[in-house]
Amino acid sequence: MYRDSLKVGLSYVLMVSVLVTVAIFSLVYGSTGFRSLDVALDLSDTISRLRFTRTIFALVTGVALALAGSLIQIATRNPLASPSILGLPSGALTLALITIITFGVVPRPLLMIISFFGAVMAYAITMALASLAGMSASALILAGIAVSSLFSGISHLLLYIAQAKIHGHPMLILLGSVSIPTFREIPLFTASVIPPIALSLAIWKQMNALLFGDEFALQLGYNPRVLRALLASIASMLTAVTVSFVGIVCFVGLIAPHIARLLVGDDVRKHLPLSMVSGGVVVLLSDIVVRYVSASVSVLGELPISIPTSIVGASVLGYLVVSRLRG
Amino acid sequence: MPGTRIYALVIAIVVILAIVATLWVYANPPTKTITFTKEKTFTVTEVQTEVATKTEVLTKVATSLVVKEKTATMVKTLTKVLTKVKTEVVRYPMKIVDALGRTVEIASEPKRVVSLSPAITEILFALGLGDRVVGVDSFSNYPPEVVELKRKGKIVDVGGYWNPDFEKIASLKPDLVIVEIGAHAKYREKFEELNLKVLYVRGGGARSLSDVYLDIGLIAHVFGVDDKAKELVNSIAKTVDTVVEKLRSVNASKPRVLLLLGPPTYGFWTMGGGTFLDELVSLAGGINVFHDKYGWIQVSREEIVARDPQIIIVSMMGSAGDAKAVLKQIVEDEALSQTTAVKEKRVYVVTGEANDILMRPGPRIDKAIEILAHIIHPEIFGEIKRGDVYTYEGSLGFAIELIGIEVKTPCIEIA
Repeated sequence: MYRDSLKVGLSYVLMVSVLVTVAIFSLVYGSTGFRSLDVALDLSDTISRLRFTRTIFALVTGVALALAGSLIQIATRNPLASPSILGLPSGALTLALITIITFGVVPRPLLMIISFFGAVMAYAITMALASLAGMSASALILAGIAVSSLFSGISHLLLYIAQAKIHGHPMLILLGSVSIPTFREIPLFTASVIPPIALSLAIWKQMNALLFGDEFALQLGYNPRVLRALLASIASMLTAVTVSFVGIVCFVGLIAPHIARLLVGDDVRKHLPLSMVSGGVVVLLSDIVVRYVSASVSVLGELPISIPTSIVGASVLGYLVVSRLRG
Repeated sequence: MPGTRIYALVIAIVVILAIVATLWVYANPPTKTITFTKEKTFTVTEVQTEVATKTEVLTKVATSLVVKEKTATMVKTLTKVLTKVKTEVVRYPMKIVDALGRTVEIASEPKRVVSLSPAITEILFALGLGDRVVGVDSFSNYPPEVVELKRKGKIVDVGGYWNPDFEKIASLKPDLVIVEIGAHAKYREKFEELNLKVLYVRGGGARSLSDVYLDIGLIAHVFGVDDKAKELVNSIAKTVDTVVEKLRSVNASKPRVLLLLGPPTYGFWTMGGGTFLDELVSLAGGINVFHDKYGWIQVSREEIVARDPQIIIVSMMGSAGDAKAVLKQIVEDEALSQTTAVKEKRVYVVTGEANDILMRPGPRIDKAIEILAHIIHPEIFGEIKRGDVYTYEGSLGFAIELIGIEVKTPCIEIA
């Protein structure tokens, strides 16, 4: 027991210090080179403000998506599930684009709510397909692939049409970029993410029960169906918020919970906060890579952030597939 | 199970929605149809008649000489004409080295020419070779007769600059296809496969004004109109020199200029050194803020803010509404609004014909320099007074005024 707590404690210390280091690096580094920390924190300077915006958005996006990933994995009891595999971000984007095409640019809060319904719609369809196919682990993943591909295709088409109304490069929305949002939007973004986080941390007991099985949860007096729906809704909300601001960021919801579980085990109390910290680290590192490429390779310019996260995420997924599904 | 039915219903609804959405999106099918006109084939008899007419003229002159007993100068003119006819006849077949370093063999004077770039089309028409053009890309719109001929079907639109329609080009059976290295080098094998004779010019990859002159000279040489080319180049160079001289005479300062290619929505594309646009900017009396970089590059907001341009010019295709939107976007952008250019209200959006003139490395390069000079140094050349160049005046709020040729529209509130 003592060794366990020590291990958990050390993992947290490690991850949090990595996060702080990477965050500082992100504030200090950019396409025009390094600046000292006090200059970087001086928000009246334009360039420092640019980097600060990117850092905050990358950090909070990572936290939100990692949490969404953990919740989905707990709800489906499937370590290979993640919001993107189930089609949540593409569903959110599709509905958001339909709104923009029909009504023009709408205020951000409204866009977030509409994206939320889009994500829920995608989740419902995936669940419907999966349950028709027997609700095994592979059925869920395959149904998710079908739905996410469908909405991905539709949102590509819609993005072509909506290009004139959206002030962002289509590729940067489809594959995510923290260069899109502005400094003014930081308060709204963080405020939208905090309630879901608080709620998830509050129901840790129920989540732990769910992990052991539906009967176990029932015995403890919780309703597993309601619980799963709640977890899916929180995950959809988190996905919708990130999609409305930075577009679709892939794989964070898959790898961050795994990193956390690898370090501290399955207990929700222990691994949920760590997964959020890891998510922040992953997205921050990816943004630093994006800035490095933008600075050194002039023809590529600003890469979408899903490119580094996908490369890393896919490698982690490959490892997971082999280790989990072997024997 | 009752639950399954509900799920099935949900799926059915979604599928129906998807079909309806697809149908709605494609509710307006394209209505343009492409017509092909059969072009006359030039037969040998026509050439023979040409030669015959020339000899007829010569004999006529000779007889009149004998009859009128002209002075020595007339004899000189006759010899010149004779030698000119001689070189015309001996001109082909010729071997010419194009901009890609390939040796192109031209068997006879090309009578059916396809141009895959608007700049090349302009060069052809400026050299008086417009009657030989049978196909152009969809962006070619100058001189105005090109649009007329396209409409009448005498010139066929063979597709975009970036993605030409090879079927259409091949069906026109051209003697020569003139293309640019940058956009069309990758189609080299495709052209060979279709047995098309291709001439590469530098086009958009022109590194300087001299490269543009070389392109004009190359095309002219193929058709034997080198004199026309010399005339054209000299006239362009004269205008350029006038601008440069004027700037030098008043010892003008050189403001930092950022020239954005296309609206910011597609990224901040600009040019570094080693491009003809960079040279145009410096000849017009400005300094390209990205001069230290090379080629066509994409830059970040950070880099723009760090280099602090004093003038921002956005060159893009689009309407007045699009120009207004882009102006608003740049002026309200968190980072860009901190540049000297935005603070001093020196942001210009160039669209329409002015955009064509700036972007095309062709015979209107002198007009391009004039436009840039007016924008960069209004104190020397006067404020730019073109209907397709937009700038803004008004408070730092959201009233953007469009300055057209003569008419000033009232302040328009941008909601």
